[in-house]
Amino acid sequence: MSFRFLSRGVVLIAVLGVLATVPLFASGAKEATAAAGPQSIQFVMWQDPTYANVVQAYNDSQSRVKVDPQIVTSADYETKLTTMLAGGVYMDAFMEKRQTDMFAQYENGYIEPLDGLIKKYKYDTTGLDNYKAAVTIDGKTLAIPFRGARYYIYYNKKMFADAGIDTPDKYVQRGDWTWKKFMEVAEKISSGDGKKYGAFFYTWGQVNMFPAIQANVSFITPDGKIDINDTVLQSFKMRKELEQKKAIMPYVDIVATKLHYSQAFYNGNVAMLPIGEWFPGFMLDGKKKDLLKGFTWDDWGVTRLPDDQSTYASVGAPTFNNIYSGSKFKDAAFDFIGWMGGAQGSAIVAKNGFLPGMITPDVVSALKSVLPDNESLKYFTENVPVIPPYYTRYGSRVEQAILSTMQQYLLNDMSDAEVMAALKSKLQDIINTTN
Amino acid sequence: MYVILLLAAVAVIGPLLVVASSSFKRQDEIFSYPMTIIPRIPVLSNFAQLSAHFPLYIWNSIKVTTSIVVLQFVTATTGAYAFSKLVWRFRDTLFILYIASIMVPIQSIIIPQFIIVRNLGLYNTHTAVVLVSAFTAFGVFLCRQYFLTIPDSLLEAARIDGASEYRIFSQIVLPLSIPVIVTVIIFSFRYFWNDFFTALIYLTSVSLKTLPLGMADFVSQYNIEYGPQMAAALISIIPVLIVFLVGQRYFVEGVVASGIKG
Amino acid sequence: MADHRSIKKALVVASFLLPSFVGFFVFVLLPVVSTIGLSFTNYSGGRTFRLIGIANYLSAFRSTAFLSSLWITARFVVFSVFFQLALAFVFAIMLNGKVLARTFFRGLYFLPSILSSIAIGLAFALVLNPGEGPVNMLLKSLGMAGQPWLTSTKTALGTIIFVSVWQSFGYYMVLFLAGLQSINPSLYESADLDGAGLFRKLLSITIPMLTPTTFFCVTTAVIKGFQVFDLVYIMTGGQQGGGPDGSTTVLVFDIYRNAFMSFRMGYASAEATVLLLLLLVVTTIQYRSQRGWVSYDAA
Repeated sequence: MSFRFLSRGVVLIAVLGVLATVPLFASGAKEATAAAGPQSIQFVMWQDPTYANVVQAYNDSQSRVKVDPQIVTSADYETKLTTMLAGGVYMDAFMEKRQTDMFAQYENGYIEPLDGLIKKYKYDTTGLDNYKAAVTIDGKTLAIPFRGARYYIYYNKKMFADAGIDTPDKYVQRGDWTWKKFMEVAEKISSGDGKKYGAFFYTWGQVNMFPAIQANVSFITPDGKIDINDTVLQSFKMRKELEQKKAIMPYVDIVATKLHYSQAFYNGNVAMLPIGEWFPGFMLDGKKKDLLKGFTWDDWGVTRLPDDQSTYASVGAPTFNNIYSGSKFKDAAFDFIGWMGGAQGSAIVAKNGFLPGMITPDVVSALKSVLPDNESLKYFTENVPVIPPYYTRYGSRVEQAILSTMQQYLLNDMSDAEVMAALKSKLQDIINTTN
Repeated sequence: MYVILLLAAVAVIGPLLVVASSSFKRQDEIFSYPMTIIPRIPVLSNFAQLSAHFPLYIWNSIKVTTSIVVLQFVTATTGAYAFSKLVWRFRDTLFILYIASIMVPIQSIIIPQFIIVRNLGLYNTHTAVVLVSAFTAFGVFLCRQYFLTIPDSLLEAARIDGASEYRIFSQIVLPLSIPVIVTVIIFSFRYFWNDFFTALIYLTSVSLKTLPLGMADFVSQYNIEYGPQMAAALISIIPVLIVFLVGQRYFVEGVVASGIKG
Repeated sequence: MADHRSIKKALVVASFLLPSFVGFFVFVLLPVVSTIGLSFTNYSGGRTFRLIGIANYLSAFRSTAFLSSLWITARFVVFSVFFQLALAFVFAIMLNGKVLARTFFRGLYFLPSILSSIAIGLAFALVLNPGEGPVNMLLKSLGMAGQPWLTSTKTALGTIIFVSVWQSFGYYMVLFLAGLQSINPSLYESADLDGAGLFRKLLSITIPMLTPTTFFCVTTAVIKGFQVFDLVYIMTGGQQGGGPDGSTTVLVFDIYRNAFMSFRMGYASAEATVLLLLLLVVTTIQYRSQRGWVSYDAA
């Protein structure tokens, strides 16, 4: 058992390793057969009653295609999907959970471009067009969104009334709902001792980068160049300043205590919550389970995010379905994902309290029951541009770089130049090491 | 000494009590401070939420874990015997290779392993989970360490009497090794009972899900329901605790060893 | 005749090895070898990939993320292994004797190791709440300052180590108990006749006789320490965890993120291979030095 043995063994194993991997990866998918009757397709999705309802409704609505859902645990869905694709498991279509994964999947040849099918079936692209940036790579349409995405400000009217301050929608109407104004309002309404918070920024990267994303900062451009400016610094500083003034809860506390944003808002001591389009579902749930503390269903509202740019844009990437390139039944798969992202699928998604990919009159009337008032409904369903955050093949690593730089900044004394230099070097490292 | 034992007991019990009491709390109370051990509004709804699928998940877990443990018993004892009591070339080299194989974290070998399993047609079967789990080297390693303490003179005597290796293995070594065998059983049961990652990757059908996968049902895209998870965690302790309590009698009572050894 | 004998002997060895080896080869060794192979490629989960030599290793050793994760892992291993085993040993000795309610204590200390990591993660998030969590309340009532626990770069790794010790010492205690059972009671009897005291018996009988178990425990604990993942993932914020400010990003967490979030599977394989080599060196040192301190022959 000597070290010489070790070194010799390592070389031998390395050679064997290269040899062993070749035949392993050569085999592809080969199950699936055509059958009479409705064409059965395999659809990989994560566990969610809403989506199961949509699939069921589709199966009930026609007799051409029967979707056989492969329901994967929502926790770590991405890991399982990646393994299934790499392992050559047969499927016809799949749901994408972490949207930027689509870049790697496309580069690896697992995703079928849909332009041909869209043309062949004269597919109505209204829903698609709203989110073109989020489903297009190299000019090819790769996915059909079935759930829209955008961030809003959810606010607690009671806390604004108690503080004697105008609610955010008033600022929106007056056209001065900027991030500066947002900070002002947040500081004014907070008690400064951690009992009442002006706002609550959750721990995701995009939630902490709104000003930059709205300014179209991509962090790394698709062709691999660093793209950051002062709005990034502004975003970092906003969080730090608000934390120092105890106008928001510290980042590290939210992570360590596992406090969920819904819980924070239910508690009735958070005046403004910038979060996504799924939140009305949480509010419904909170009302049903009697979790709202110190305020009622009529005391909350939805309005736009603040914005410093000349035309308002929200932030978010839609949830979408892809067709697997190895599918034998792409037409059937397209029939299904097209339906799910179309008018009929959208109506069902809306009924479950989510914003669908396509906003139709049916959708608006369905969403009425999940929102407190017409003013909120107006902002919730208005047609505005939506910018997907750092939407490139570097996306998930950019998210990590943003979060780690932000934590560094929040926990240490760093000058503006130091923060930007730290972020820059992380981004450069990503560019250098992405194959 | 009792002071130390009791202090440690309190430190151990504290977080366990939190788990137990959380399973009777609503989500909002779980996260409210100051924390109380007795829930202000005790609820059973967390347990009620488990009722639909959990009997099946528990049954699947019992089936899978028991199969793994039985296989581990066979592979660990026979392998350990070859590595400790038989003399052959490359024995130590191969042994280090064995140990080395457990040094690579599962996250980094999962894709090649998955491809092998899928090519064998085992994807989405309990067999897949059983097979990839049953051959880890910990069992062999632990048994080997124990077998080494059994004096060779004992075995030599039997060999001179003309006993075959199989006979020596089954009639001398195994009976002497009950504590370690029980330990291997307890430990593999414990480990694989809670194994989430392997089950996640290899099982998809709802009818095949094991308990750790079932617990993950309460994690959705934007939310985690902790109450039912804590309730499930509490229930899932019971089978392992039974295995432990039954098993540990074997090394409390001093075993049968004394007569034969020394 | 001699040939016939040695063939027969080889068959016997093979028959003992076969049950463990077939499955081991297919499900463990082959994937491990493939991972080593992939570490020399730009594999990203696709059908095609190409050899890129040692580029992954070069970028790993130039990456501050990788180097810092190695350093964090090393600290985790040293402290968690030491405290886990020291406590396990002490409690095993205590609970091997005639002690009131020893079955109860054994079962209790073993309990944390069977609890799912999700439950442990939540329990400690609640107990260690830096504001009004019970532990900080207790510290304050004793006149001590509350700790920031997981919310500070200075204390986060220590907190994870503490939880890992809490979780695992009972597990190794049970191993030591099994080892204590293998000690022939007649050894103690003859020591008693020689008039040896408790401490003397511990030093000259118990500790030497426990060395095979200790060797197993140290090796296992070191390997498990290097592979720590669950606790970090669950306690520091899932996929975006490893903080605050990267202070708990251990090696396997970095591997997981590179493989499954950044699709750098070739690179992640290289990291895993470095881990393998490191552990091989550590284990080989342990294995070679064991001749110095591990005694297998029952005296």
